[in-house]
Amino acid sequence: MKQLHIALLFVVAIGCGDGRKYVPVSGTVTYKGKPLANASVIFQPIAEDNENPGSGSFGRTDEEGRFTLKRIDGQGEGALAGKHRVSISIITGEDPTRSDAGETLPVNQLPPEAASQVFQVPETGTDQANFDF
Amino acid sequence: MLSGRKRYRCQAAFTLIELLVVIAIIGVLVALLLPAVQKVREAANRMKCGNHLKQIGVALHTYHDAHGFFPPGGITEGFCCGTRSKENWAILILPYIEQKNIYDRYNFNAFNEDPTNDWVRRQPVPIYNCPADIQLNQTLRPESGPGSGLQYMVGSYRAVSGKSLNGWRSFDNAEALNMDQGWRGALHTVWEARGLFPERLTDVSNGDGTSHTLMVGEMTTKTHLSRRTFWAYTYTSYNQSSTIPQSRSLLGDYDQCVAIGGEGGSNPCKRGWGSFHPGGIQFVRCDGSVQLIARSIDMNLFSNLGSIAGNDPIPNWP
Repeated sequence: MKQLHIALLFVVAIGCGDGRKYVPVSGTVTYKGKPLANASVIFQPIAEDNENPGSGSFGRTDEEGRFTLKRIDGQGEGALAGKHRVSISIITGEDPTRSDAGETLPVNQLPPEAASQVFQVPETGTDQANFDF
Repeated sequence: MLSGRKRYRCQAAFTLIELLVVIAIIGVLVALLLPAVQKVREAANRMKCGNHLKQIGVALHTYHDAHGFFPPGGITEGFCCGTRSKENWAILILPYIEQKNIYDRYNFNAFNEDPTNDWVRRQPVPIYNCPADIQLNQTLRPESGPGSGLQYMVGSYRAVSGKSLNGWRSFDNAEALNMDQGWRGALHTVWEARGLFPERLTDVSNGDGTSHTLMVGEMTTKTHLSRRTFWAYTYTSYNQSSTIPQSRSLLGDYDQCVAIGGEGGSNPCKRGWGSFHPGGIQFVRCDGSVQLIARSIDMNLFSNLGSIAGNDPIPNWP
């Protein structure tokens, strides 16, 4: 029985990890009422009482403007529960195939407010992270 | 008697099963031990890597004592991108890390990219290598700039040139003139003819404070090695980086960072930070202390730690 308790403790300790909770997040981006394709969606956690809130998440919209977030640290899907600064961008002025790319000004083709949205990710995750501007 | 001796002989030998069991037990023990050995090696590498940062910090302060100001992150005499550069911080502190022989052969009247400085550009400097980094002690061609066709020795540490929102406008080139001057870092690009001067310790202590300002940190990448650190290459983002409020700039994986995308395109990847330590990335602060910063840090806080006088709130910072 005692061994079982110790084993359980291990499972709980490993299962909790660093205590951060990533939950599934997806949604839609529309621009002037139409779905926005191939836009970069970045969620950056805003710390309220913590210096190390965790790494951000990213997604890219498909033809219908839909996106699903993945973790930037490459450890799976979703985003942290809590407040995020959301930046949506379509970057031009860069050609990734050229080796000296990026020496010209990369411009976000979207209005400035697209780069400074705020979104609260609920504890249970959401499929309604919708942005429209 | 005979049957008894026979039984004795049989028991003296190992059976195949017994042998397999012993091998299996040894296998399990080794499997348990190997990760522990690996962890100790990682920890030793991280400590040595931090020790190099500490020596760089001491050298920067010694330079400050001798000159009255910190060395420039780099010296430029024009705007991006074809402009050739002069010397940088890593060249200027060579005499203070026991590398005066390399320092003496650098031609300060010539440009960084001129043939006369070819020998210095290709020299390995042990203190500029983090033992956890990959493919050290080799020369490569940097990706861009006037030195892109030349061979430069790789390195592991970059100066913190300042805070930047998306990496395009940053303090590692003359765009610094168009930025909020409170965002400049301790070691940024200097262009004296246009009023960009090196920093004094008093500027830092009267600003955010020496323990709230990062000075030099680790930067490497596991992909796209032509975008890693080249200690002697002054041009923009090869021995200076910026603190940018985007998690992807701490990945240490240039191609993955570009693939994720976002504000500034590839610029936060060129001016990011990276290490192979599982716990995070080490920096030496202006007070000379070395600190491991977790990749899970609040990126606004991280971004503010790069500026010397941002007047930004830095709550509960140890």
